[in-house]
Amino acid sequence: MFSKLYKYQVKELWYIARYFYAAMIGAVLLGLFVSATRIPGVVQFVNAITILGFILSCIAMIVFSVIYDYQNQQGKRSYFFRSIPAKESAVFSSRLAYYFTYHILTVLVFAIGITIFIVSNTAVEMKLPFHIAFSTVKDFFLQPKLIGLIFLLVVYTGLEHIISMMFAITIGSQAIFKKLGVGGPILVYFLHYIAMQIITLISMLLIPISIRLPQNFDTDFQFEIVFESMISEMSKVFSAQSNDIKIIGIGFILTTFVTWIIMSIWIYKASKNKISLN
Amino acid sequence: MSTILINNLCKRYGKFQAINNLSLELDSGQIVGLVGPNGSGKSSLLRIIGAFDMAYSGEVLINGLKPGLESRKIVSYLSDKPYISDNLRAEQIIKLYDDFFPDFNKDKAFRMLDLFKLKSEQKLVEMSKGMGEKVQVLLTMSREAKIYILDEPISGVDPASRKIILRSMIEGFSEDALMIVSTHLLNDIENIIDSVIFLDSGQIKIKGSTDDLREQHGKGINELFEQIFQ
Repeated sequence: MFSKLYKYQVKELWYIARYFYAAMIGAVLLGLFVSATRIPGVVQFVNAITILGFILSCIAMIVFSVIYDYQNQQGKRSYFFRSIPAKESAVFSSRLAYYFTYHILTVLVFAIGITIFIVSNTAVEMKLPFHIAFSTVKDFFLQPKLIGLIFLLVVYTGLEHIISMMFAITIGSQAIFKKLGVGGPILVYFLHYIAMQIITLISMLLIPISIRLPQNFDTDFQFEIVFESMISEMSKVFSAQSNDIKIIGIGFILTTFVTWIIMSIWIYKASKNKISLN
Repeated sequence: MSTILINNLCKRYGKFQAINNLSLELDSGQIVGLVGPNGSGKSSLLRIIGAFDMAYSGEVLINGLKPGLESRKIVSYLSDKPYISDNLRAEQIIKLYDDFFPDFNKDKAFRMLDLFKLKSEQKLVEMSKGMGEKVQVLLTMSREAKIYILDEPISGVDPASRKIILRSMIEGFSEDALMIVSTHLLNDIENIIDSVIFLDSGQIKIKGSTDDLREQHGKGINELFEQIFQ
């Protein structure tokens, strides 16, 4: 049932998503074509429009993926989606996979577009042939450490976004928020956002695991993990024993993972026992 | 064991009491008409039976099960609102139901599609309101369910189409199932229902078999309805 639900949700959004992706790829190709003219003013103008269009398309994709999930859970398609005899675990995992598919797809299209944009811009600005500009950009970006960091960031931000949205839609659609309509999920999202910020701040300050910053960023780029809390470092600054904060707390990573697990259990239980359609 | 057993059911929307201490017992093998004025609690009651609203107090048992995933497997539910993607063609929607519902009878769905004179390649968005309702009725009736719940199935269709829909509902109904039909158009369904429930302000005003009620009050069900709710 998981694969059927997943396929259904992905196909539903694909009716709209395909136009956005086609527009994004079309804009890149147009930008590339214009870049080939090497007319600086025109190239910069078209590139600016392309980047703007790209960012707006990405935002639109995020918004549509959330709207479509809401329609399945509480909106106009909910009577069909909710009547499917699927276990909550299948519904939950298919929603997660659906969001993740579009997150990765959007990031990929965005990354390809931005790469082409940077290559064409480098070629025009530095007056290089395109293949040399591509090779220069490739050498810079294809560093294993950078790719690893970007991959981790994409997965982390993806999970953060997906779980937050699923949480807001599921909890915000419960009977208690029913009279708020779409406002229910929006309210829950903001309440959850504020709570997460507070949890993150407290975790950064109190959990004794941090990164020690290099003394001089110009000469030293090594980061060291230390088992100290930021609050003790801050107390040194306040008592004038030290001039600046040299460690940044990373305990929030731990609490974020714990919060995701709690939120996932909450979503699962609410979907099972607290449905209240309009 | 009753197919549907409800004891002291209450449902509230803020200050509005939609269902007020309602108790009800229904057995299989009958078509039940659920009627009442707007806001009488018909849709609220059906949503609870269909396991689409779990925020209530009281006891509800569907074939001995609390409304939820298991009870939903035996209930075929037609909502009073459109609930299928309108960018799909009729044949795609049938395929979708066939994929998701193990008790769905695809051949029966295509037969009903022909009966309703609908084109399988036509998208829902290109259909009129009445045509869309016919599609939803055929999807609901093509499941081999134990309980059929139809919330306002004929409200948006012309009188000629109503007859076809009602006929298909009877033909698609198996003798060991239970069907609950909620409507304002009592005149149209009076001849197909075995029993009727008059709902007012979330409470049952009258309940009984149509034959008994006609005999008891010396008038038709529609006349009785008009007399009570005027």
